[in-house]
Amino acid sequence: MTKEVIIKSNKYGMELILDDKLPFPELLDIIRDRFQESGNFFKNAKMAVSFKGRSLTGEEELSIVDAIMENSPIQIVSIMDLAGVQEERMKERLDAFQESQGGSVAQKSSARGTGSASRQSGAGQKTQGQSGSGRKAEAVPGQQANFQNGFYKGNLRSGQVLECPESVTLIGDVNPGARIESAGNVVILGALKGTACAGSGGDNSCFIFALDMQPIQLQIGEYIAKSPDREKESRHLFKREKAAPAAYNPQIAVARRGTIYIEPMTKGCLDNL
Amino acid sequence: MGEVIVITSGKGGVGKTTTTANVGMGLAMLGKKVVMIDTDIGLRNLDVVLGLENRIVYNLVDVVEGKCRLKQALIKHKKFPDLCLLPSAQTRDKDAVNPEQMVALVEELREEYDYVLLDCPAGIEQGFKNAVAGADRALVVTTPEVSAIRDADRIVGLLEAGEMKKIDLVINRLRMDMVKRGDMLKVEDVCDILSIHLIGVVPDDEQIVVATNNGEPLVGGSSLAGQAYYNICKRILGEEVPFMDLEGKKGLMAKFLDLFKK
Amino acid sequence: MKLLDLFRKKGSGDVAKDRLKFILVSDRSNCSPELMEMIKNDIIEVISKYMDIDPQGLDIQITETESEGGNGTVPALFANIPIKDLKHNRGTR
Repeated sequence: MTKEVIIKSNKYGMELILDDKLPFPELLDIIRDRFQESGNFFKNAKMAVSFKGRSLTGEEELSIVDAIMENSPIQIVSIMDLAGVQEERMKERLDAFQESQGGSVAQKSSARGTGSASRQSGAGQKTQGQSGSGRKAEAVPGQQANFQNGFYKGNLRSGQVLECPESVTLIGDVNPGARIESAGNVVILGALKGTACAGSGGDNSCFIFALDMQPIQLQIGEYIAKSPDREKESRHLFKREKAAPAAYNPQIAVARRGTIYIEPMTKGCLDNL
Repeated sequence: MGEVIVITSGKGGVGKTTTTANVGMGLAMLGKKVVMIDTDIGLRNLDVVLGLENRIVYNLVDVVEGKCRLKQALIKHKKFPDLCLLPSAQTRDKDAVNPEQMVALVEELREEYDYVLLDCPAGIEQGFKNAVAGADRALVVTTPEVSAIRDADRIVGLLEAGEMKKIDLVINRLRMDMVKRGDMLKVEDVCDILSIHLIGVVPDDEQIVVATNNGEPLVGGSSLAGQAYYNICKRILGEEVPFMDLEGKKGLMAKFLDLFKK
Repeated sequence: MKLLDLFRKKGSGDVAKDRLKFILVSDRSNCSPELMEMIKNDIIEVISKYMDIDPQGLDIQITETESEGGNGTVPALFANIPIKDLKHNRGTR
C-alpha cells in the first residue's frame, strides 16, 4: 500500500493527500498508477480536486490534473484551495456552477486544449466542487440544534453518522449500524452498540469511552477492532446464568502496541491517558 | 468466467436476503468460489444474516468511489474462505452508485469468482436497476400471496424487457398445511400464473428465523428449508434434482400426533 | 373432515388464483380500471340500441385465450352481457 498518495473522494470531488518528502516526478508517477488502477470506477465523472499534505506550485498542480485526466476518464473541472473545505459549501458551489453553466462543464475543459482545469483563487471565491471526508450522506436529524461545543444530545440510529473535527461527547446511545467519528476522543454517555472511531486523522492516542460498551466495531487512529464473534449458545443449562442483567459497566477503549484494549473505567485508567 | 445472478422480488420481505445468503453459502459448500454483493444501499442486511456485521470496514460505495481497493472491502466468511461478501453502505442512498459502475464491478469480480450473487433491494427504482445491470441470470423470489406474485410478475416483465438471459422462480414460505386446506396458492398455480421456470420451493420454516438470529444460514442442514435451499444450489449448478416432498418429512412430534388423529 | 369440506366454500387459495389471473392480465395489458369502465359504458350504449340488456349484470374482462393460429395465448376481451329482451322492432332492419 502506497501511503504517498491517498485519494479520498465523494460524489462531487476528491482530495489527494500527498507525501511532502517525495520528489515531485516520483509522486506524479504514483498518481498516474493509482488512477490507472482505480480510475474506471469514476466513469466520465466531473470532479473538483483539492490537494493536501504538500504545497504545490501552480504548474505542479496542473501537471497532476493532466496526469489524472490522461490516465482515467475523470474530468477535473477545477482545483480547490484546500483550507477548511467543507462538503456542504462545496456542493452548493457545484450546484450554483452547474446552474449558471448549464451543460457546459465538459465543454469548458475540452475547449482549453490542454485539458487542464483553471485554477480559481481568492479566498471568498473558491470554486465549485467538493472533497473531504464526505461520508455525510445522512445527516443526523437536528444535528445543528443538538450539537453544541462538542456535545451532542440524542440517539444515533442505524445509518446515521456523527462526524466531529474534535473530541465529542454524545449524550445518548449509538445504535447498531450508526457511526460516531471524531478526530479526537469519543465519550458516549449511553450505550455504544454501533461503530465508534476516535482519532480519525490517525491519532492513536485517542480513547473511546462508553457507559455501556457493546460496539460492533472500534477504530482508534489506524487500528480497527471488531466485536468478537458470538460463540454458539447451545448450552441451555448455562443460559440462565448468562442472561443475568449486567450492571452498567463503564468501559474505555484505548490503543496500545497495535491492539485496541477495552478496560473498565477505573481511576488507574485515568492516569494512563 | 463466473456467472452473475441477481436475486430479486419486487415486493419486500419475501426472503431475497435470506435466499441470497443461503444460496451463496450452499454454492460455497458445493465447492464454488462465491461472492455476494448487497446492493441495498442505505438498508444493509445481508451482513447481519450472514453474521459478518462486525467485520465491515469498507463497503460497496467505498469501492465504487475508489476509497479502497476491491480486495479490501471483501469480507471472507468465517467458515468458508471461498465465500465473500461485499457489504453495502448504510449511510448513503441508492444513487451513490450507478448501473455502469455496477457492471464494471461485477465484470471485475466474475474474473475470479464462479458465482457473483447480487442481493437486490425491494422496489423497481435505482437500486433495482443497479443490481440487474450486470446480471446474466435472475432468481425471482416470491411467496404464495397475491401481492408478492403481482410484484413478481412486474419484475419478470421488467427483466424480460431488459433481456435477462435466464429467469428462474423461487417460491418461498410455502405452507403445505394451508395448501392442503385450500387456503394457499399451490405451487402449480403460482408457476401457472407467472409462467417462468421453477427452480425451487422453500417451505415456511421456523428454523429460518432461528438461523437469521444466529447469523448462520441453514442451507445444507437437516431442516426442510435448509434442504430446499441446498437443492436450489444444485439446480443452479445444472444438476437434476427432484423436487422434494414437502409433506413427507414430518417431525417426530407431528408423527406422534398423527397416531392420535387416526 | 372430508364431509365438512363439502359444505365449505371455495378455498381462499382458489380465490387468490382467480383474482391474480385477472389482475395480472390487466397489469400486463396496461388497462386501467377507468379505461375498462369507459369500454363498458360504450358497449352498453351500443348494444342497448338493439337489445334490452341488464347494465348491472354486464361484466367485461381482459383475459387470455388460446390464439387461433395455434401456439401461445393472446389477450382477449370477454364480455358477459345478460339480455333481458330482444327488441325486434328496433334497429336498422
